[in-house]
Amino acid sequence: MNMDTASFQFVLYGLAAALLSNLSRSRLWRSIVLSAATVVFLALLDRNPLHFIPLAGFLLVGYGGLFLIQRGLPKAQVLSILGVIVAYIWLKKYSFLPAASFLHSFYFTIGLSYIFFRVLHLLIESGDRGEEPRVGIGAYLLYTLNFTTLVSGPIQRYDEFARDQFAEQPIPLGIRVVGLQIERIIRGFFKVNVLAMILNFAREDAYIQLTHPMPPGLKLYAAFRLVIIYPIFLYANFSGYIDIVIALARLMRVRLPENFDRPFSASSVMDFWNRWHMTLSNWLKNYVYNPLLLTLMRRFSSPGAGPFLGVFCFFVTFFLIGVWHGRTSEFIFFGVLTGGGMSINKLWQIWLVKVLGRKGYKTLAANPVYIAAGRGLNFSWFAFTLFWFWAGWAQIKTAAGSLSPLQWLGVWAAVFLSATVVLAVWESVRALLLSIRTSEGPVLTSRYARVVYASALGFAACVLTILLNQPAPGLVYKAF
Amino acid sequence: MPDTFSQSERDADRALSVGGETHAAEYEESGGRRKTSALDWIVLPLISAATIAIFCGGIRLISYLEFAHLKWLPGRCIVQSGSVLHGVPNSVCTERNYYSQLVEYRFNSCGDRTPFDCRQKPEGVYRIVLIGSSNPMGYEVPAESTLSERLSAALSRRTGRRVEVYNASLNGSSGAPSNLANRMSRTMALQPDLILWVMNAWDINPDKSEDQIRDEALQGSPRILRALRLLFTETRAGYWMREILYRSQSLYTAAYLKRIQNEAQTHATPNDEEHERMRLVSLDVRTIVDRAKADGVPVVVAFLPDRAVADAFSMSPRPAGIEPDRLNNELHTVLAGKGAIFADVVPDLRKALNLDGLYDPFGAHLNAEGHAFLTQILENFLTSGVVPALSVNEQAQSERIQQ
Repeated sequence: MNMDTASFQFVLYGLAAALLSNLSRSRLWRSIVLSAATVVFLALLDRNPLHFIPLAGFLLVGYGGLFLIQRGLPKAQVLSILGVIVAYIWLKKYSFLPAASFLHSFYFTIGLSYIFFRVLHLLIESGDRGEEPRVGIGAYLLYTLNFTTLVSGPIQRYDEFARDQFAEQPIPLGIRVVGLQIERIIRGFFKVNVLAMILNFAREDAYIQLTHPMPPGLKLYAAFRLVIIYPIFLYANFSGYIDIVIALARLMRVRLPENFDRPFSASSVMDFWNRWHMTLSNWLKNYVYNPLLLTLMRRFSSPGAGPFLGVFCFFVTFFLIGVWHGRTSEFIFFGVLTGGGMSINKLWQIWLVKVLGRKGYKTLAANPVYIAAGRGLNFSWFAFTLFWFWAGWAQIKTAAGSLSPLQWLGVWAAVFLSATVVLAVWESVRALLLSIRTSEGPVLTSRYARVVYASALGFAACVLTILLNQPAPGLVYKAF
Repeated sequence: MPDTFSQSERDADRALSVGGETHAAEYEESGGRRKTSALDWIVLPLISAATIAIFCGGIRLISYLEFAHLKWLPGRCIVQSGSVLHGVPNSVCTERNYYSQLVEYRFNSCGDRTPFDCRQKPEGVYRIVLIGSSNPMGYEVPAESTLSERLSAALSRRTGRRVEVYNASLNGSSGAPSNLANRMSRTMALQPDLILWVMNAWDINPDKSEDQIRDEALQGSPRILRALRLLFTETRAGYWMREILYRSQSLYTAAYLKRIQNEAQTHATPNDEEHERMRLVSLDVRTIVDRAKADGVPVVVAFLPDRAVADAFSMSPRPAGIEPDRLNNELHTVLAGKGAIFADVVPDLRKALNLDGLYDPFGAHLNAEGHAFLTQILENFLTSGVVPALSVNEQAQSERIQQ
């Protein structure tokens, strides 16, 4: 059925579930529909119930911990958190554990990482819920397995989920909101099934051309394309799916958190991670960065140490983001680069403030040329780190050996300059278009303009889907 | 747009704050602020329909302009007789296919695409008769860029003697081994000193075309679906869009794999049908080689993989379903046992700069660059000593180097 991606079947399934859900405003009915839709969704992903046993065990460990914490059992929180982390590492078969300890039969792991974040969030927060009602097993399963967020997130907080899902009066769903969600589904479908698919083929072409006999000019061009295409592909692939699930959930009267906020407009690495996979960044901010920083600040109370402790905490937090993505040494290196980028960015900021003073730094940070160069640099850095995200060491070695160091330097310089110029032009054009307004707001976001581009994208998606005649591409973030 | 540099200096925690939390609400609100009037129920669908109409019209207009001068060869210079095609003697036609430039086809008095006389071989000329189907014929390629014309010039230059590569190939099923075997009397009447047979994958496995597969798949489908498919694939606009998309090697290979998957066939392992085809090919090869040998004419055979198979050489991991060397190796075995000389062009093809760029976007035919590259490979092979009469003339070679 191809349900674990942004396929036409998945969209239809989600729309059917939303339609059923809206037959009654009762929270019981909506919960029954969501539960049934989730169970059927899981069954469509894997027909063999035995494959779900390890996942069920994982969820049981989580709920057991939650149950004990909610009853005030001392040390239950620490033990259950540790238990869930160990169970997760074991089920994901991290390579530092002995292979003999793993289950060798096939079992269902789709969405396990996202379930893990939700379960940990519940365990950490449940101690502080105070007078709030306890989380029952039904609500727990509905929250952790919700079919709209199961495969690739976004990572929603429980209180936000419960606020909408279990509300006596569900959030309104007027014709305008429905129209906006339909438009968003079309946009997401186009991003994943057309844009990301074509970009993925283009990246494969570029890799082949780079690593095989080719005239030197074409090789340089292939290297340039290889570098710039993957970040855009990844954005289209991930954010397109997120667009679809946010819209489907909204049609079921649940507001999911945003996961992207125009990430390539970011003018620095730190800014970028505020805009890319935002729910993951936010989760790590709450549960890794903040506690770690507080602990270190208590331990090292010198005022001068504060910024540098922050740098260290950035490194640890974003190193963990890299490691979360996979179990191989490539992902560890990706984590080192991501954490390193954040730390260097922060150190640069500290140094500039020291050299220029706060006012001077603010002036510089507001300079359009500085911002444009920052965008270009951020894009180039992200593209560089992503080599360890999509390629293995052998592929990276082959690609690196295809050009001389000087040629690579030229390619990266071209990437930086192109990204700087193109993103600056993009931002300017966008600002210009948004400045064309009527009394109701920007023309570009009017319902008429939205209908135009939703129709255009929908039509293009239909035509190209028929022409390409390929199955919906897999979601990169499904694997994590 | 907020700048995190300036924000984050307040404290380190700030840099991780999620600036887009209210994004969904804003997004909804941006639409929610505007009121939907009764008129919108008419205007908005009309806008949508107009947008789609403009898109359709735009694509149709571009493709119409792009393919304004399509011309077709069959029926004018090529006619069908029984199951095979024949060139019309002394005819001149131009054709512009969807994916080629305007190409002139000039047929001699015997209906072959060659400037050479079919009746009388000039004194002292070493004549190679080139047989096969569309690729050796030079389909979609101007005459001066075809394998036969290039090879004539290259071999004459290299060997120091006058060499004619007489192009007796014709596109379509005329190049199938069984038809070539049936036409051997005609081929021998051209007085060859050597027969060069360039074989396409399609000659051996005439798999169904994309169009045939689509037609079969659509049998019994709702009319609307069939109409949509036809609209997007069989029209000029469909060809125009596919031509653009198929410029991507990976995308073309994926489409090809989908096609052979639809046909339930694979190029990795031969099935019973393919075994039977190869058995028949070996019988035809025996007929051709025996007939040529009877007149003391050697037969050189080269196998030319199609674009998807050639592309698979450079893809890692190799696409499942394609084993690029299989057919070449099988033919090598069959031909060696029948007394033909096998010119293995695949190892040299692998070394080509931009191998994918040697084929047309739809993958069946070599383009002009492809013909030039194949000429180079065959020139080297034929002058390497396998055909003594074409061994390199040292004097001509040194003169050439000096030039």
